[in-house]
Amino acid sequence: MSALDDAADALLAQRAADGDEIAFAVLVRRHAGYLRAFAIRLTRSGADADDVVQEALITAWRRLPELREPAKVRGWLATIVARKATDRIRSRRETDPIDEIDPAAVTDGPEERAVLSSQLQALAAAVDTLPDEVRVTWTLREISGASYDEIAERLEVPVSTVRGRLARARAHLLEQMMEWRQT
Amino acid sequence: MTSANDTTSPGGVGGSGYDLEALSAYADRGRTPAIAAIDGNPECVALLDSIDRLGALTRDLVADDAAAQPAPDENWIRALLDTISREVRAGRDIPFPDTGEDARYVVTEGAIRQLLRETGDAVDGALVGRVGLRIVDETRAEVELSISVAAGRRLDPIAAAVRDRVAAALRRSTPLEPDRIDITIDDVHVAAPAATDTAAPTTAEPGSEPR
Repeated sequence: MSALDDAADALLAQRAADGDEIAFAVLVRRHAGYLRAFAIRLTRSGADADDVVQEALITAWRRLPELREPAKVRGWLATIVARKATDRIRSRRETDPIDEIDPAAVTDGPEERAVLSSQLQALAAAVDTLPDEVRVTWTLREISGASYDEIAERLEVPVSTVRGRLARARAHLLEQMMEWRQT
Repeated sequence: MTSANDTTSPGGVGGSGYDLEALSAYADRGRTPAIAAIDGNPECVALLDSIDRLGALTRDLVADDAAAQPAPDENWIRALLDTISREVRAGRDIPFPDTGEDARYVVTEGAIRQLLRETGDAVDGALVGRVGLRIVDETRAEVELSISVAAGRRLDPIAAAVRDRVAAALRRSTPLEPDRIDITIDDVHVAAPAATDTAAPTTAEPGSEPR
C-alpha cells in the first residue's frame, strides 16, 4: 500500500500527466471496472470491451498533459473509451456485415445478474435491442454526460441527427419499460 | 413511466405543440430556458420526469455493472504499464557542466520531475501533485509544485519543508540552481494512518520564496 492508493483522482491525474506511472496505475486500478462496464454497454462484447479499454488507456497516457480538469479524469477516460468503442463498432460492421453479439459477454454470470434489480434487468435488455448508432449516442449522452455538440463531433454526424437518435432511444426505452411494468 | 406513444399526435405531447424530440432536447438542456407551454402541461412534465428517471436508471445500471466487474487482472495491468513505460515523457536533456572528461552527462526533465515528486512525498503530511519545471538556462530553473496536505495539519510548515527539501535536492542532484520555488497547496487529504512526523522544517534557503 502506498499513500497514492488513497489519493484523490485530481492529484493522481496531475502526477500521471507529469509522467508518474505509479499514479497512472492507481487510476487504472480504480476505474478499470467502470470503464469496462461502460465499454461493454457500448460494444456489447466483453472481448471488444477489453481491447477498447486497453487502447483507450494507452491513448490517455499520451494525452494526459492535455487534460484540463484533472478532477474529472474518470469522465475524460470514459470519453476516450467511447471514441475507441465507436471506432471499433464501425470497423466491426465493415469487416463483419452480420452484427454478431456475444450474449455471454453482456449478460454476466447468474450470480451477478441476480443482484440486478428486475427493473435494471429490463432496462439492460431494452438497451441491448437499440440499433448500434442509437445505443452509442444515448450511452454517450446519459452515461458520459456528453453535450449534443460533443456527440455530433465524435460520431461525425449533424447535431440534428444526435437529437433525433436520442428521441428514438427514449421512445423505444420508455415503451419497453412500460411493457415490463405491465407484464 | 409515461408512454411515449403520444409523440405522433398532431398537437404534440398533451397538445402542447412539442413532440418527443423537442421534449427530449429540452430535458437535456436541464429544462432551461423554461418553456411555460411545457412546464404547465402535466403530460409533458410526466414525460420529462420519465426521461430523467431513465437517465438515472441507466447510470445505476452502469454503476451496477462496474461493481460486478472482477478486479482488473494484475497481468493485464502490468502489460499495460509495460506498454506505456516505453513512451516515457523524458522532456529536455539538461547537461551537467563540462568535466573535461571525454564524456557528456545529462539528466532528463522527466527524471528531475520524478526526483522532485519523491522528495516532496518524503515530507510527512505532503503529497505532490503537479510538478512544474521551467528551465531558465542550463544552470537555473523555476519550480512550481502543487501539493496536498494531510487534514488537520498546519499547512505552512509542510509547504516550507517541501520547498526546502526540493531546493536541496535540486542542488544536490542536478546541475540546476532554483531561481524560485512556488508551492501551491491545492488540496487537503485524509492522512494515511501510522505516519510519523519527520517534517522538521529546516532553515529557509535563500532564493526560494514560498507563495
